[in-house]
Amino acid sequence: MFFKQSLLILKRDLKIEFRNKSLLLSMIIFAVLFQVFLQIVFDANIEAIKKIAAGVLWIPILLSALLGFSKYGIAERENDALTGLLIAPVDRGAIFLGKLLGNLLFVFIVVIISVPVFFLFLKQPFPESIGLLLFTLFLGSWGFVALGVFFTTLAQSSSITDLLVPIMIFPLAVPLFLAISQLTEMALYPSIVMGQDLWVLLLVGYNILFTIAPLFLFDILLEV
Amino acid sequence: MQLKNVSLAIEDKPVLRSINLNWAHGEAIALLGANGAGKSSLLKVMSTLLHPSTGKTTMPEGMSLQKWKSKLGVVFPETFLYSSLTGYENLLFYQKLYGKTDNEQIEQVFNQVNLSRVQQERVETYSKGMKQRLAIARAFVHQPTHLLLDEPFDGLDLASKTILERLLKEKNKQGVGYVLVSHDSAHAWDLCDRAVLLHNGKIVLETPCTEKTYRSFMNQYQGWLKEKQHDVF
Repeated sequence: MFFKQSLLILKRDLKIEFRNKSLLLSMIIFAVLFQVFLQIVFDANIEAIKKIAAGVLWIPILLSALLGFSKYGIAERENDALTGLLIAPVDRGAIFLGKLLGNLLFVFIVVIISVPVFFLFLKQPFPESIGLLLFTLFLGSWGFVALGVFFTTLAQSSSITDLLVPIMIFPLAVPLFLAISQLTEMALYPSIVMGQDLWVLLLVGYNILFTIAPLFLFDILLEV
Repeated sequence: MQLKNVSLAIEDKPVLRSINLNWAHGEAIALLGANGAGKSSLLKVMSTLLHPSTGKTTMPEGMSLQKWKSKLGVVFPETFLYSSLTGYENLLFYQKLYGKTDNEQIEQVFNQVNLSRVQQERVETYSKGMKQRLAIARAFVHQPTHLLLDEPFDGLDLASKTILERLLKEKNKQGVGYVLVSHDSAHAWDLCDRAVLLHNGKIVLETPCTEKTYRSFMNQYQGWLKEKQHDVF
């Protein structure tokens, strides 16, 4: 029943978002334009760009995800539909999981488009450790989305305004930023080896914490 | 459902005070009172959306919280509808949310609220009255045994009001109980077995809804309303 309810919420959100089309398109355009903007700002040679490459790769993805958090599932606020969910016999963890999967799908689509743009515009060589890069992109996106969905849904059901969500998210995302920037650097330039296992462990631990904890905490935190 | 000494404070402001109320299976209760008397808050407590600050709520027949929620249909001032989805998609979503899939039931409630013709149209194209009727259909779509109705007649034209009245009477005959909040006491009197008057978060009067009791109830009700007006102005 738990997964059925999550899938039901996911399907409903996707139906609404794909019907309105605007959000996914905005996220993709924003990420690509930002990537181009960074290319113009940091116009440098391949060697010099090494120091900031991880940041340049991730910033458009993370900001685009942030844009998604504030707009995804906005239909729920229209007629107080979130209350409709809370009154129904729905496990509140299932609400979190449904929203997490929907946001994640959108961010993955952004990643699929934005990362090739990064290599194209910054004229970076094809990454030697493609496995590590994909792993980092997958878990990095997952962790940030889990954190974002957690706080956005919490804000929707309380008096916290949307404007405060990024302020709450970024301090808590610092360990994630550290792990993904280090691992991305290692994936792009394998000669740089700085305790890879430790960063992998941090990234995996972060994802487990911010995926599992809201599943159980939502019942308590979503009390109106 | 039983409420024992239930009190509720929101941001330290008392909203409900020592409420004792028994809601028997199949009973129709009219919840009356002036604006701010605590009627909507009491419904929210009964729906488990708000938790009492003190006191105890007991579900009928020892039901678990999830079971109680699955038996409950709710019409609140907000419709809980998704504007980008069609009327049919909204009802299907809510029905599945309650663990049911019954297309016939969806067709039936569309017929009951007279919206069959527009069920495949997006809710954003509906008028206010149509949205309200769809919200009523949403509350009925999982075949609840208990209904919490907060001003369900608001925004309905005369024909739609008659449809809802007939629907409520029909459901009540089938054993569905409801708590009805309405500004129109005569209307509520006609639809309910018992009336409960709230004033400043307290139950000040409880009486069976008969022709005999109506006049004395109205006298007291108007007295409370005058007092309320005096408080305001």
